[in-house]
Amino acid sequence: MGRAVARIAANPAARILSAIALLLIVPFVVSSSYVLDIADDMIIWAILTLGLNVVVGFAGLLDLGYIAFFAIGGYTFGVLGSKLGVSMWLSIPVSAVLVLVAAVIIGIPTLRLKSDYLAIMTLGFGEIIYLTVNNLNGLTGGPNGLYNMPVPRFFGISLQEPGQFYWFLAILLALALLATSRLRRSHIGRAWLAVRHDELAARATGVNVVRLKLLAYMVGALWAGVVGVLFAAKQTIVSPTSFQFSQSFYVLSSVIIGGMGSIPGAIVGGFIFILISESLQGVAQSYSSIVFSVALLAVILMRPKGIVPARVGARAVGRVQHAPPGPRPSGLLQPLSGADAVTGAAPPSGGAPTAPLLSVSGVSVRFGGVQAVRDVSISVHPAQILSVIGPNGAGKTTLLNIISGFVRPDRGSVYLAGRELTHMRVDLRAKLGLARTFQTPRLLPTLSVVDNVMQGGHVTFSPGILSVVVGTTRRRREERQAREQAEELLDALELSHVADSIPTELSYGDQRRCEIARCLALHPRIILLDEPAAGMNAPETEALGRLLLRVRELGIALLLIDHDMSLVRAVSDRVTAMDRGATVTSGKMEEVLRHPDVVQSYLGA
Amino acid sequence: MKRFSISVFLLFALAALPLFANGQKESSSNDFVLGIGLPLTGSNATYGVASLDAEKLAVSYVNAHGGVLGHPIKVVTWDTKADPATGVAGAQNFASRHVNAVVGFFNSDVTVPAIRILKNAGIPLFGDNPSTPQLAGMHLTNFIRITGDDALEGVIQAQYAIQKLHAKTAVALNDQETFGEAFAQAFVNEFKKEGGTVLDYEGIDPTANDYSAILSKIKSLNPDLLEFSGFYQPAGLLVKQARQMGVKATFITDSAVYGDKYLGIAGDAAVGSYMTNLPLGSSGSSTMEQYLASNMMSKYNIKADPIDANAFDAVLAVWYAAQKAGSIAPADLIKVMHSISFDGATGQVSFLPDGDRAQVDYSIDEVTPQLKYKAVETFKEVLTAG
Amino acid sequence: MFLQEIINGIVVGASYTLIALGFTLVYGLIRLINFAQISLYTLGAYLALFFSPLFASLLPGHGWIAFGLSILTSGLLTGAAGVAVAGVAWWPIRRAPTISMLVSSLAILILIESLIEVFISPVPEVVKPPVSDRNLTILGSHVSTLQIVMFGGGLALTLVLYLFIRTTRFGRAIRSVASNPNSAAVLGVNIGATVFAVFAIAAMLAGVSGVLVSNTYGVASFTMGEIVGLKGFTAAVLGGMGNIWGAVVGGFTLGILESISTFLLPSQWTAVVAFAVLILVLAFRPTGILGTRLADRA
Repeated sequence: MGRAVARIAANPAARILSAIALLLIVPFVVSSSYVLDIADDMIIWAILTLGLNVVVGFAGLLDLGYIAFFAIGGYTFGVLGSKLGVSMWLSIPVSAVLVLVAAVIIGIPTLRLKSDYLAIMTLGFGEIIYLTVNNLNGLTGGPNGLYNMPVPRFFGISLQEPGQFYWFLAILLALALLATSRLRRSHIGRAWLAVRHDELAARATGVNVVRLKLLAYMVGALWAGVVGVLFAAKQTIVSPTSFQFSQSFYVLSSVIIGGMGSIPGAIVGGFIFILISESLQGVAQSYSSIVFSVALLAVILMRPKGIVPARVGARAVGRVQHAPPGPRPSGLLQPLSGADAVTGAAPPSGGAPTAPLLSVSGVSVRFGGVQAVRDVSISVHPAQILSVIGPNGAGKTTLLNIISGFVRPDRGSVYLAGRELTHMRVDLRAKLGLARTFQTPRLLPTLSVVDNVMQGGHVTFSPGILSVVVGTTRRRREERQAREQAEELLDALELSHVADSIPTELSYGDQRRCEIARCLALHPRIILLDEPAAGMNAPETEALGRLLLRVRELGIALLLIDHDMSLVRAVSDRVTAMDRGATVTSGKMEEVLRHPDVVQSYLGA
Repeated sequence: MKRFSISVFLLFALAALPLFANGQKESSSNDFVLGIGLPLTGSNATYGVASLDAEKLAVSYVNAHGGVLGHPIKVVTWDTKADPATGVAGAQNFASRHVNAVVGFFNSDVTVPAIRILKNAGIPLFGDNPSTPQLAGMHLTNFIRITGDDALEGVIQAQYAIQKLHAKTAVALNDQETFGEAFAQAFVNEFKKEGGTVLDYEGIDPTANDYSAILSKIKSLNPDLLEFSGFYQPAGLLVKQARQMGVKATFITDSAVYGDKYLGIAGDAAVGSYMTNLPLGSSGSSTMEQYLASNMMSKYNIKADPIDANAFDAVLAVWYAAQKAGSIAPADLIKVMHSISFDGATGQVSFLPDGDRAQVDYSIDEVTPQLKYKAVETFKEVLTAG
Repeated sequence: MFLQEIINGIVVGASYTLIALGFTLVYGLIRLINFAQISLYTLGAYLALFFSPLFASLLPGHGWIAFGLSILTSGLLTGAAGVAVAGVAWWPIRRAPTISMLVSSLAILILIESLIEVFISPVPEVVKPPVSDRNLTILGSHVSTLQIVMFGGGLALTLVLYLFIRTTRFGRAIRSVASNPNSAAVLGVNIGATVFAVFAIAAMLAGVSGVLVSNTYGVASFTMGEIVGLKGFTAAVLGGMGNIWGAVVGGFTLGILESISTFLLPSQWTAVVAFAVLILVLAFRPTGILGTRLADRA
């Protein structure tokens, strides 16, 4: 029995289904319609909270107008049902389409904004929808709403009792939970968390931030739209009063009190909201908004993670124990079957002169009155390490940002393996095999180390969300392989012992290595490193140097910026020196360091 | 042990549910349990709270006169928050407690779903103020209501305006809340039927308190009459700002506006404005009206208005229904509720088969220069079914 | 006739400007939309409900002085409330992600409104100003004395605020923190005190606005801040967030747009127009009419 329970506990899908099974017992145990009605409300609210949690908790978008999707769902059945006699069942897919369209229409202008403007804009859209359904007297019944919808029938049985709706709501909850859970554990879930915590890092790993945000928005909208139909059918009336801003606020409170970004937290938050509202009924009903706002404040100030905090570092589906730590037989990651998984091109065999992999020509950029980079040209060959040195303010990081796409040059061009990158979006460059690290390691604080590495491989996952939700064999295999690969990478970088820790628990040097592991998960052709040795002591720097050489042996090119000359000397094939935005000279390290202008730039004013 | 968190919490939620399982009958079998559902918080709280006071007054009156066939009335309240979902939960709650009857729910959009539940549970609803014509259109056997329906007041306003005020042109405004729109629509239809011209009909911005923009438009249309359906805040603001801007049209509004606050907000601008009203407290009023008016003032310091009167009579209707049925069983009450007839605070109370009032007394009040309401016309309105 | 619409729009716009000032001030400093301000606007109105009759009875015959004292007292008390709010809902989480701060200011908004609803009054209340409100005709249009006070008050407050920020030492401190908190700190500016002071000023502005608007129109209700708050925010964005004169330009422009829209759409849609303006501005020109260096795009 204990082992069966443990196995259920380990498998997320099994956990969810067993919890739902418990839920389904309720109508057999409870006979009071009133209690079942409360139970219905609890499930409806839990679904809403689950949906908003995807938007707010996963993708980090503060949506203050979420209830608009619920309204669209309710009114779809309201209008179609009362005017055209369309059944509840048919209204569900129609509503799904409508909310997805609405999510796109609302999302596109909204999602480019920063979090506070985004919040206000969603608030504005929410109010517009509320006012619209309130004002369209002919279509939506205006302030009085619609009430003549046909009673839904299921194999001849009329659904009128709360107990009857309960089954369907429970099933909907189960589906929503399963789908959300699968999304959370997939590369999409990791990408969402990346978007939430660090958009820059997310882009650098190839995440199309706008599309992911839109996706979160659409998923959230879908749950609300579908449950809105059931809500309207159960309530037998759809009126604007159910869809005001206060409702959006209460769903948001439930998400945060329950635990932002946490799936069980969303269920808990949703259930608690209804339970507390009901228990205040008759005792101190006027205090309910006071109670909720105080509770919300208390949670934000004292326990910001909520009642059931989001779990960090979920262990893999199927894996219950660690692999024994220690060196793998090969000692290092094998180059992936000799083929570059991103482009299918074979890594170059060493030695023979080849065309440059990365080719930067004549790039210049000006910020305000300062010419940060002036007519710089460099090139990096496959399996080559190029270091860029120069005093502070020389424009090295700006150059890196130009190559990686965070800054667009005024003039000049950037080519990678024959493809022009100059004005390409950051995340698309990752798809071509460009990875980078940042001056301070930008790892995601709420993912475990191994999940961070897996997130780095975002571009290696095939596109498509439906297969994730359904959980096809292909997807599960993809996920498993990604995890195995991530674990191998961590092994190779001697980070296995911290695989399940969160990045903030790691030493600086380990964080840096973790960041590099994340770059490797992308199957890059070239990695850009921005001062990787900063903050490291001598032994750490030496280890870093050895690591970089091993990376080169995989056929990966490296472009390195650093001030640590011992590192530069140890790894570089070529060195370029920059000063005041321009290149000074280029060549072998020793020649460059002897160049008078280089010496001058370091010593000079 | 976070691994079990979902399951554990669901079990906890399940365990909590029976706390709400008030499946047993409330209190001793001697009581007549009356459920009262009203918006005690939220946007309509003022009316809900006043209605509750009026209903409690009626309950104490009934109890002082022997109760319902010897059974004292015990009240269980439910705050609907003017929200249909909460109202539905209330109806379920009443049903599970097997109350004898329900009085409620003030808001039309709360009453519509709630009454279906009560119907399935075989419990009668004695409606106080839900005035949407929809409710009569549903032809429910377990429903009667004291208030006239939305359309009535609009019709009366139009008839008075054409016949007595000799208005030929009008602009109609509504507040885009529950009853305002239906009232104003009824006014517009009747005004046109009687030969008048409606120059404009629209809703006001429910979020604003500066109506100068629309009043500017109205001024340029120069109607004889400006009609508004809604509550006291926009009514007071409208007439005040209209006079400020030099709009000369006669102002007429509905009974929900009646009260001191309308006068307070509008000030002198209210003088000469008209409103449809119930002939409460005027000379010739019934015993019940006077009882209500004087006790609301002495006990609750509230000046009774038509809404309170409807609430009061709803409880009286319960009493009379039980007397007629000779029983307090819900099923028996339902059988007779449409055939009762009595003198209430709203005048002669009797019902049509679809639950509507058969006859409602209305008055047209004018605001005097002393800022008092004076009935300038009263009439008895007989309704036909449908 | 057209002039009446413009004047109407400007008068309504004055109420939006008053609210926009508070938003723009706080946002300009710490890039935070302070939702809580909306409830302080309401609080100011309710405080004046108490103080106006009090001062009027103490100073019979001096209606305007009583009114002025009432405004002052309400303003100061709301300012104090603003400091308290900052202390509870901003200071402890000032390093937390933006979402936390936005949600906590929302929570405070709902909390203060609910407290007013439960402990003062859940229904709209009549506001009787201690001064007589006369109707005047200006340029052929009708305005009331109090509307002029509200309008003048809005302009005066904007001017005072502008001068304060431009000329005083404290104003310089505010500007330096707004443009670069790190260098401001290095230069010895006490960031915490500056932010608290700005919260207090914004709260006072909100409170005074609440008094002016509720007295001009004669009603107060616990939800009075909500939609006006959103429209005020729209005005701030429209004019240019962080820009003091932007609050004026945005407020008047929004008021005029609403006024004109009444001729195109039935006026139950006016609020939708306001929100549509908000969305269009945020989508296409988030820097607003007068622009601002502090515009944010992801």
